[in-house]
Formats: sequence, C-alpha cells, structure tokens
Amino acid sequence: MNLDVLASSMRRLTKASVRAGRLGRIPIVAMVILVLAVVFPLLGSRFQVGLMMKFFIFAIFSLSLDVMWGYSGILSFGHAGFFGLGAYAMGLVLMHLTSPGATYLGAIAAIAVPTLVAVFMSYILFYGRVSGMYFGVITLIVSLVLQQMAISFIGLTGGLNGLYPIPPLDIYIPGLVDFGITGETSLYYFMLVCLAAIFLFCRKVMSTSFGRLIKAIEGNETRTEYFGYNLANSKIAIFSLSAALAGLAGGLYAGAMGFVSPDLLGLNMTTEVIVWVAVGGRGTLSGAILGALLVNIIALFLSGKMVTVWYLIMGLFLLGVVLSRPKGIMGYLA
Amino acid sequence: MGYEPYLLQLLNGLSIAAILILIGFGMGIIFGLMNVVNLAHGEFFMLGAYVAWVVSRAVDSFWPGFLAAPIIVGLLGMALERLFIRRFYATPLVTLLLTWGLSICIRQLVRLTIGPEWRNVVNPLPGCLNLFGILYPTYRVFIVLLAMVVMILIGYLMLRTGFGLRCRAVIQNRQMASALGINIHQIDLLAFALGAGLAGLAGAVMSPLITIHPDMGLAFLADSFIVVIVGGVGRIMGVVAGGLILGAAQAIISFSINPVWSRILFLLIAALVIRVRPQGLLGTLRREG
Repeated sequence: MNLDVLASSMRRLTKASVRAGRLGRIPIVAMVILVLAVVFPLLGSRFQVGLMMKFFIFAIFSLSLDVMWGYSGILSFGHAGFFGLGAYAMGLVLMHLTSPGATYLGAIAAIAVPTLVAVFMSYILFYGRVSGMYFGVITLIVSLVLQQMAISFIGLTGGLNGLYPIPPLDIYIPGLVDFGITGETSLYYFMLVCLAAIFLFCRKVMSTSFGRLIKAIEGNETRTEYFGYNLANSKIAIFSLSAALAGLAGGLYAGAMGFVSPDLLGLNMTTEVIVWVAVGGRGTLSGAILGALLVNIIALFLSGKMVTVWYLIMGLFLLGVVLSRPKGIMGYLA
Repeated sequence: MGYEPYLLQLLNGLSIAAILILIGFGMGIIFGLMNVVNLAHGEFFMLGAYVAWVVSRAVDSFWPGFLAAPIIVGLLGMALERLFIRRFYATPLVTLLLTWGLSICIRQLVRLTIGPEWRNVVNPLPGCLNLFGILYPTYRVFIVLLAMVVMILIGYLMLRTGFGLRCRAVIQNRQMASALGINIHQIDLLAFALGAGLAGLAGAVMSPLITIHPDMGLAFLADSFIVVIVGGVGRIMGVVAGGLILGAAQAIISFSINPVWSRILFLLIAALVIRVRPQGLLGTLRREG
C-alpha cells in the first residue's frame, strides 16, 4: 500500500473540493477518517485491530442513543439495558441454536427483545403523560432491574460469569456462502460495514418527515402537539428505534467478543454512552461515532488499574457538560 | 393455625414499609418541592451509612454516628444545592444529567478515599422482643418506631409551622409563592438540605442491616423514587401511602424468594400507578410549567 500516493491524492481532492466550495470541513474530516478506517488493519497489530473493532460496536451503540437524545431531547439513563438485552438475546440464540442461519435469528432476537421492552415502557410512560423526569429515572430503574435479573437468574444467564463461549457470527446463504466471521480482520471489516450502514440508515431516517417531527418535538412539544401530531406515538417510535439499534449493537458485541457479562447492562455502560455522545456533540450522528472512538482511545491510555479514576473523570465530565454546555467536537468543526 | 403467621407477615410488611418511608421522605420533599429528581439521592443514603460506619468504629458506639449522619449529609446537600443544583431549576432534564454526574463523582470519591471493600456496622440492638407471642428483632421494631417519629415530625413541620406553610405554597405554585414575597431560594436550600439529611438518616438507620459499599445507593434511589411516584408527587404524606402499599405487596409475596422479584413487583406497581393514576395515590394533578 503506497500511503504517500494516497495522502497526496487525498490532499488534492480536499483542496479541490474546498475550492469548489461544495464541502465544508466536516466531510473532509469524515473522508480522512473513512480512509484511515479502511487501511487501519494493514497498519495496526492484531490486538489493536480487535480493539478498534470493539469501538466500532460502541459507535453503533452511541448512534442509537444519539438518534433519541440528540434529536428528540429524550434522555435515557438506562440505555445500556437495551444494549445488554440485545447481547444476551444474541448470545442465548447462538449458544442454543447450532443450525446455520442462527446468526440471523439471533439478530432478530437482539432487535426484537429490546424493542418490545421499549414499546411497553414507553407506552406506559408517554401515554401516562408524566413529566420527562419520570422517563429518565424509570429507564435507570429498569436497567438496574435488568442487571439484577441477569445476575440472579443464573440458569438462563450464567449469573455473574455471564455467557461463555458464544459461537461466532456466521454469514449464511443456503448453497452459496457459509462464512463464520472470526479473526480480528474480518470482524473489523464486518463491523465497519455495519457501522457505515447503520450510520447511513440513521441519517436517512432523520431526513424523512419522521425525523423532522422528532426534531420538532425537541423544539417545542406543545406546539408540535397542537399541529395535530400524536406526541406519545412519535416518542414511542423514536425510543423503540433507539432501543432496537442499541440491541443490535449489543447483539453484534455478543457475537464478536464471544462472551456477555452483566456489566454490559450496567449503569457505568450507560454513563459511558452518554459521555460519548456528549463529547462528539449530540444531534449530529457523526459526532456520536467520533465521540465513541475518541473517548475509548483515550481510555486505552489509562491502564486497567485506573478504572476508578476513569469513572471519576466521566462524572466530572458530565458536570462539565452541564455547566458549560459545549457542543462537542462536531460543534467546533461546524 | 393461630394468628401468629399473619401477625408475623404484618410485622414484616410494617418493617419494610418503615424502611421505604424513611428512604422515600427525602426524595419526596426534593422532588415535590423543586420538581427535581435528585439522582444523587442514593449517594446521600450511602454517605449516611458510611458516616455511621466511620463514627461507630471511632467511638465504639452506633448512636453518635446515627445522630451525626443526617447533619453531615444535610450540610453536604446544602453545599451541593448552592454550588450546582440551584442554577438548573428551570431545566429539570439538565438537573438529571447534573445530579447523575454528582452521583458518579461521590461514588468514585468514596471508592478512592475509603476503599471499595464491603463494610458492616454491628447491630446496636441485638436480640428479639416478644410481641404478642412472636419473637421479632428489636432493631426492626426500632426502625418502625423511628419511621413513625420521623413521620410525625415531618407532618408537624409541614402542616403546623411557618416553614411548612411556605413549602406547601411553593409546591402549589412557585411563581405565585415568589410573587407573594416568599424567598423561594431559601426554601429550596432548606428543603434540599432536609431531603439530603433524611436520606443520610435512612442510610445510618439501615447500616446495621445491610452491607455498606460505594454502589449501595443505587438500589435505594430506585426504591425511593418508586415510593414517591406511587404515593404521589407533591404530597409529602403520599410517601407514607406509597411505603405502606409497597411494603404490604412485598410482605405478601414474602421474603423467601429472590429479591429481584420484589424489584420487578415494585416496577409493575409503579407502571400500574403511572398508567391508571399518574398523579399518584394521594396526589392531585398539577400543571407542568
């Protein structure tokens, strides 16, 4: 791979596009990152590629929060609950179903289970017409209960040990392909493709009339309702979409990492995803991805023994976000 | 079969209700008065338990710590209200994020300074009392009595004093109360300190019965919030109704089974209340400003 040629052609391309005035700084940054992402397995060690693959899954999780928090302003304090539900659903399906195509069933379960929980919760909360506070706290409590269930229903979930070993994901088309996704590099590219696809999907959804309705809800709920929109249904829809994507991310995590533990459902995980989105800048989608990658790469430099300090930094960071109201990385780039 | 099993269940229900009422009061006051859900409430509870543990080790007696916990945690609550929470009453959702940040910071600071180990406080009232032919742990009887005393004191404070009158005015209509010359900043400060202090008291009271560790507050945050929404936000005595109902529910499904089921039960009751009677059992509907 001739990196010099690549770099110079990138430079020429960016210069040209800036001259043409069609592209701002954001698409250039995005292109550079995309190119870096594609060539990364050639440069990094297997360990680094594996880590990056994990961060891509986190980025999908981060996107799932951003479509809700960033656009509708609804913040879930138990988002890891959906991630974990998806992970357990995928893990259980893959472990108990050995027939080819189990991955597809697992993916369906990883999306369906969190979505059903989300629909049930949001139906009660949003039609109960209780204030937005309730939503935040109830999501937190539900994720706490889910974690306790994962720990104590040992027969199903393996308790504190979690599920292990989970068979790998498998792309299966009868008679054509039966490709088990193992090894860092193939997992890396698979997750990169998933991340890109989900990113484009979210962007598409947010540019439809539904996306504009969701943004209108954040702008002014009462006015949106007086225009004749069913507020509760729209909120249920966006919350369920968000939970579905979080569950999918969890399912991918279970298949890629090969194990699932109750930590995935926990409040630390929720805090992290809130911080990723806040760092990247909420309501931008690409910011959610950037935030997830950046925060995790920074966390790498703090050794495992500093976990306590790391969560303290997370807490301080949340305070900082609230007190200074920055717009995240994307806010500076825009 | 005599009356004993029923009496035992009744006592169990009462003792759970007493605990729920104690932990619910602080949340109820802060949520009802300021319309702020304090996600660091569980950490106030945890700090109360740690104060009891530290003092009981230092002076070899439980009671000084029991008295010190509400005061220390109340003062801390006062400081946090002044420094942070005061600035965000207009935007309740931001306070959620803010108090969540505070909650994480307090938890990690405790973990860094006191350590993540599990701690225990020796039960100051060991042994059992003979109640109508049943031996019941003395300390649980003490908790029931304490909950009653706290209930009466708060009832007196809210219904018979000038402070209580002003508090109820602020709960009913903030702007109007302010326009009528009530210093709502002062009320907020005192009420937040009171709520935090009550959480600290609950933590100290519970400390001999449970394991003390930095993450212990989260479960109590969940319980206290559910008690408040079942009872009704904005009605201080709603906490009593919520506590009694949830205590009764938990006593009926009994102790022996997995504690997770009682949390699930609490959640289902909360869901039912939100769906059928969103203002809570005793609450009246308020217009959200």
